[in-house]
Amino acid sequence: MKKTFDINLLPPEFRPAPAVRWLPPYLALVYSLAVFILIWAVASHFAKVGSLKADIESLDKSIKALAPFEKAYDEVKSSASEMDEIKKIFNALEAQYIDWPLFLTNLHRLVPESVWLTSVSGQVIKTESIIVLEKEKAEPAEAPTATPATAKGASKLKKKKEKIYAVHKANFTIEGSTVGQTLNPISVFLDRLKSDPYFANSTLISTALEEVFPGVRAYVFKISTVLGGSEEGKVENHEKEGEEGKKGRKSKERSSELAESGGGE
Amino acid sequence: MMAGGRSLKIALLHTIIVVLVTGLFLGVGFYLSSKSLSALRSKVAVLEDREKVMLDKRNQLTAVAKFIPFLIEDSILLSKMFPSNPGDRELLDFLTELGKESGMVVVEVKLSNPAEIVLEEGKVGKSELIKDLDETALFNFKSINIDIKLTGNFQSLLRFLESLKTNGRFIRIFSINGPSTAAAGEPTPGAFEWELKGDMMYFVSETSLAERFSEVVKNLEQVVALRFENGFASEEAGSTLTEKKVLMQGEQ
Repeated sequence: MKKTFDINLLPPEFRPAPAVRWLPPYLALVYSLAVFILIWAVASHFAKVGSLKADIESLDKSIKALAPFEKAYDEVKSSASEMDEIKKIFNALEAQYIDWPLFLTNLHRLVPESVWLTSVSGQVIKTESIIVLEKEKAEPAEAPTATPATAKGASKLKKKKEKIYAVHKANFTIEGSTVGQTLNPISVFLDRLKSDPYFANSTLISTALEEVFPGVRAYVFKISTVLGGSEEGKVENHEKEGEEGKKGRKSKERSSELAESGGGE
Repeated sequence: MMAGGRSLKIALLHTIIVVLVTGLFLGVGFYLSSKSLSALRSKVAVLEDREKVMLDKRNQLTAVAKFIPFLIEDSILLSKMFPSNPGDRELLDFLTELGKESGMVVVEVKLSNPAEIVLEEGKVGKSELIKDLDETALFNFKSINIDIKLTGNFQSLLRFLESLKTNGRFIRIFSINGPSTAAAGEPTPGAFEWELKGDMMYFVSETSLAERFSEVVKNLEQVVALRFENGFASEEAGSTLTEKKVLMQGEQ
């Protein structure tokens, strides 16, 4: 095996400087850089995780503090919507029944003095919704006719509000007897019913001379009529509005205002 | 010269290895980190949304509080109209009182068994009044047929019917018989007998709407530091709604 020996006979001052070995520092730098990058990545990850966990903790605290407010708000909101639903049911139920005070008031003025009513029964056939433009600052009369509710968005209008009224159309059977043995009061009564816009299709079903009290004979009759038959009758009755209806309308307005105020949900 | 070339090769090799290994670690770390971070970020986003909703609700409480007096009024009115049970004793008191006020005397009251309420489509139709009505809510109501016999004159009957319509319980009449004389004898002016047939409704619940709403108001009072006495808000010592509102805004 051949071996080589380097013998330098030059004096030390002429000898070449030892070769600079760049590889170890270079490798150290590369490895250090790599380690630094990895440590930075890990530290950065944990820092982000820590920050997010702190955010979550702070949000949890905030949510816990806000919980009573939310509970109170939700309870009020749900109660308000429950009441709103009951009001709708009230309106729906109200639409199924006749407005007796109004009906009897209208009927009373048409009954001749010599006619004695014995029974009045009625059944609602249909309840219509009629939209009416309310007159400016018009104060409604006290006698009620229907259950009004403010039309959608009408509460915001200052002039000529649109209102929706429930108008009943109902079949009535009126029974009675005359005072004395004459048919004339029945014909007068029928004539008055036919000429009144509040009633329609008034027809005599039957009449007979009967003993109404011991020893007293009179004509007993049965008349059928329809309430709310003509448009004039409806319009006349729109003008009258009851306290109950007013309350219903106010409540409805308040409910819609509340719904608007709760728009953040 | 040979040694320099070898060093270069070694340096290149190490550099490549270091870059690859670091890249691999960073890639895997980034993947795992992004997964856990995105889970945390989405949790934060959900919580932030929830907090925002809650803050909105809290800020709206001041506006909602304005409606409380009206809602209290409504709850009392609706509770009177639809009591939480048939309330037979209260009904008799109510009718007697109503009769006294209108000049009628209640002679007889007959009640049927409670029945379900059914809305008749033909009658109600698709009225604007019941638009969006949740008909399942009707299951919470019951109806009882009521037959009332009264004595009094026609004007008193009108007053009675008017009061029945506008005061207290939801009792609606569908048939009126009369005037007739009681038992026997000639009709006496001012003493006719009338028979009213109708329905009365009640709300099937353990507690009345007004009671339940009063609990809600109590909770609200604690939260907004207001007291709703007789339907109107009064300030509690040391804490007004305005101060509370400012505090709420300051906390944000």
